[in-house]
Amino acid sequence: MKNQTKISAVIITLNEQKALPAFLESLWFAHEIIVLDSYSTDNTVVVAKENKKVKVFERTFDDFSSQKNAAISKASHDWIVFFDPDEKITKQLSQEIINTLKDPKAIAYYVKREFYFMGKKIKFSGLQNDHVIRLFNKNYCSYNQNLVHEVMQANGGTATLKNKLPHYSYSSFDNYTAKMHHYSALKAKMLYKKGVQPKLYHFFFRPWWRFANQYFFKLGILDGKRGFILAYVSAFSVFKRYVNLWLLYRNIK
Amino acid sequence: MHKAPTLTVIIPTFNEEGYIQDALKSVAFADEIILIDSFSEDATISIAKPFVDNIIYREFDNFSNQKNEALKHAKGQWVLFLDADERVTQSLKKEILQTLQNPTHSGYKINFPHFYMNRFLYSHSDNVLRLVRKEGAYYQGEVHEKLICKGSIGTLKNKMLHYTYKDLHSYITKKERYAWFQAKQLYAKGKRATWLHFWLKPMFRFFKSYIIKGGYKDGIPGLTVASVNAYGVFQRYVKLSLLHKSMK
Repeated sequence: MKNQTKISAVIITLNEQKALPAFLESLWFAHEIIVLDSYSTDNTVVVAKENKKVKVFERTFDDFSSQKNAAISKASHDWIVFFDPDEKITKQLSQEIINTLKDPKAIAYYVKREFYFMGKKIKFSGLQNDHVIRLFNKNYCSYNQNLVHEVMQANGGTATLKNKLPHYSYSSFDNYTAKMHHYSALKAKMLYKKGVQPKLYHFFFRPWWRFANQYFFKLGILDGKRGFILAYVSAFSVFKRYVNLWLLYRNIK
Repeated sequence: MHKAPTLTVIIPTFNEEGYIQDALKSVAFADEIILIDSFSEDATISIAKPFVDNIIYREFDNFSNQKNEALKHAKGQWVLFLDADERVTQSLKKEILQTLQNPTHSGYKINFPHFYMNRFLYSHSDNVLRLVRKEGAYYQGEVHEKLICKGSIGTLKNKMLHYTYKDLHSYITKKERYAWFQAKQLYAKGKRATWLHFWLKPMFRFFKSYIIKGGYKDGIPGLTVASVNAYGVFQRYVKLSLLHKSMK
């Protein structure tokens, strides 16, 4: 590993004490690990510091883009790996990352994610094309200013890694819907900032459109009941987004 | 004018510090106020103490048992059951006092319009039996506790204010919690979640709430109530299938 390109692993955390030790272990190939914590109320920080490569910073969470960009700014090396603690970095994937960096042909690399929901891999429902940048050169990349579903913007060539990334974001159904509620509230704020007014078609059409799009056009129907459940929950969260927006304009919670 | 029968108000509480004082003030006209508390961890008790005649502590199992226990201690001939987030208005108070002067029934239902997003939804209101002659009255049912009374039942004209709505998020999470509860009951009965449940039950609930009950007259709040109700039904069946898979 002598001539290996130096890698900074970067993560943002909030109350991740459970998942953290194993996750940090899976970042064995990084030369330093930056943990940017948004004031966890559990032992996240203590647990993180047990790993010798870790440098912990703290910052109040405002939105995902700002938080992630702030985390990247703490990194010492050019090449960054930025995974979520609910993603499983397999041995094969980490080996591929090391090999890729011996002679990088791109400035950012996508990884294909495999999404697990209620104990089963979701093959359709729009998740068949879920690929995200997880390895990049920080001099050419940053997260855009979206409050939610932040997207990495890369100025240069990108490529896709071969090995897949299992994504175990499901811990419980309540946890899943809580995340969706969090997103829909953030999205409403985003629309409010842009001055978007809630219209009747937002309430009556957009949720159905989301459902039809995910369940029929993106073949969620082939994921069985899980496909239906996912489509329903996202349709409801679209609806909730516009109710939140409607509430924002009326100064009601 | 002969002497009206005496009235006891019973309020079950658990961590109601933000609500309890106004509730107590609104029933100050009662002859006796009993708090039945399931060991609140906030300031509920210290706030309530100056206003009440009796505080009973009891570990919560369900609302029926809780209220029945308080009923045993009531000294009034009539009893009004009130929740901490409910308020007796001046006009309802007058009507109660007048009615008790010369009661023609053994129990009276009170109308509860749904308070939501800072306004009352008149399409969603329920008549609930709350004021009863103590003799022979009791609660039954573990989930939806129901007040039973001996004799005929009338309905009061004035409305009870009920501040259920805190914010949209807690309204939805409350439904989500409740869905677990209902799913467990269905599970205990050996029910399974079928496709029919997933497709039709939420739609029916939406239809009932939005069309039949007239939610459409209440604008976006009415639409939201209907949608969240349907979502709650949907969640019930998701959670039922989770129980069958031994998942959370």
